[in-house]
Amino acid sequence: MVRPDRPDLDPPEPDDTAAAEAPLSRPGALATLRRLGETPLPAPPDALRRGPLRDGAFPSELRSKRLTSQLGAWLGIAFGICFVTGLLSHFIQHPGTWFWWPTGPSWLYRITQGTHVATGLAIVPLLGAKLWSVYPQLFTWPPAKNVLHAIERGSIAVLVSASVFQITTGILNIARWYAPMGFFFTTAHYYTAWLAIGALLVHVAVKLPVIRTNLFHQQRSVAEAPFTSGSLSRRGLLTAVAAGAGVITVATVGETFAPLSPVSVLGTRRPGQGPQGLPVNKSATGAGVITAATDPGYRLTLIGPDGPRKLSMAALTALDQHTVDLPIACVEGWSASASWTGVRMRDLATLAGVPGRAAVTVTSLQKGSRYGTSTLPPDFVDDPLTLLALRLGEEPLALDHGYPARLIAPNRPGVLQTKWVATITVDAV
Amino acid sequence: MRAARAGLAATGVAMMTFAIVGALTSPDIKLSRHLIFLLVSLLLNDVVLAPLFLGVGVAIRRLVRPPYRAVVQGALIVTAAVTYAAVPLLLGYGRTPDLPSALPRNYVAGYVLTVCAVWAGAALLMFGRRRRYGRPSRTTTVARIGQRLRPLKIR
Repeated sequence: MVRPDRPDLDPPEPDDTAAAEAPLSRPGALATLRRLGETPLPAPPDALRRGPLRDGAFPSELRSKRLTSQLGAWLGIAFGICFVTGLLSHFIQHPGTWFWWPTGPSWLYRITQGTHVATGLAIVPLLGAKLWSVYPQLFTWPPAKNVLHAIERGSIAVLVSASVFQITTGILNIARWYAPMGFFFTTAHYYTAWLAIGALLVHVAVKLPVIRTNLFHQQRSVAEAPFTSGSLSRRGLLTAVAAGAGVITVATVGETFAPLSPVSVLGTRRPGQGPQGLPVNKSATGAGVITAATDPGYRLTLIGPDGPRKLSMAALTALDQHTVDLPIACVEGWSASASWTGVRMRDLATLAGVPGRAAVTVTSLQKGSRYGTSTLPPDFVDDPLTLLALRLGEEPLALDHGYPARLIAPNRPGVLQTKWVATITVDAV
Repeated sequence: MRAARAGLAATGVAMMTFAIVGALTSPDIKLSRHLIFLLVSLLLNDVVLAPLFLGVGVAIRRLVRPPYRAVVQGALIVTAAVTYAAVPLLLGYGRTPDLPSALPRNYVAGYVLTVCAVWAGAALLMFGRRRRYGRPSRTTTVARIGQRLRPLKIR
């Protein structure tokens, strides 16, 4: 990585690969492993060193360790935001026994998931610039000095591959174009996130001395590339990357932040557009529920300790009705607020025979979907904002919004707000 | 620092192991398609996009004079990023007739508008640079172009 022809740009510092192999000073097995790792590998014949493998094949004066370190730091923060918000969303949908998620503020999930998608989109120029800045490293000669060097390069390949994978599948998913993936996005995105962040930590561990030197200890006068070439300077590049992230954000964030909707020309939803002024992610046609949902003989099955009971629409409407303002916050990053009217889940749990703490499982008329069922933890059952909604705005629910009845609860992803509810099962906790 | 590095590396390896074991045992993972997509992601950068950007960079260096060059480079970076994020929207394969509220906009128009706004901003910057630095010297540029394209007489 040190450019011998430009000592002014990169002051001498410990070679990062050598630092990676710094002795761990442990006896026995570790020492043997280390010796094994440092076994030199035979270098390929120099005749193969052609094209981009030649010394000085990448002449841009803009590349520097400082630039790479700065882009890396920003990218690390952005990846961290995506990982934490992504994990949150995962655990809200697949909670372990240790996981707890509050019912309020009701807009929290729309913020965390909106941030997840917005940050993922803003990563595009950052990741592009970072990969450009280290592209010559791909043609390092010799390709692998020793086993450890080969492993380190392999981990970089994993990092690059998993990073591009995450950003690309994310973009495909919010654009609802699943065919190029050919796998179930959610699970793939989840495990690849662990792979990417794991590889990132290994990468940071290897490069930490270089990062420290170039991020915190570099003298500015040495760091600045001369502007005489008339090309983009380091600051210019960082500005362009920031501008790219900014343009993408403004062009999309209106899908969750309604005031910016008019300028978000690349937003995947318009907050006010859809049946009853609210976007839809799964239609009644797509879910195959039209016949069952419009059946005049529809009865909600309420299952409690006292056994099942059937409630007609008239019976549901006769129960205490409450109106709440809650957002639909999609995992795809868009969200929109609406005013819902219906029966409190707390009242239904009591009606089912559980006046105390209760967990509720809501099942849809939709068959064969992994999102056909969702579970409400006791805090959500008790929250007065959690409704079995029958009306949206002033009207009965549109068929696409879950007619005859849907679940609406605060601070939850849209996929858990089960539509076309067939059965509610109440269990005492 | 050695402890920090060892800790980071160990955590990283543990996370990668979790990812691999999880993916191998999850019934939802289609391993072959997943691996292909990972490989394509790597090649997309290393073999397609990076060389493409380098090529464009070389072209700009030859064709665009300072002080405009930096602005053109910056505007191209923004354009490339917007394009990458917008391609699936532009192709529009995610649209289905039963969901008119999903992907409701004219994304081709939106994309063209966004790119035009970026280049309008770039034009303003170039105009500002022209006022600040004066008209870029033609002689040096013409001389340089002349060297490259000797048979071509400029003026």
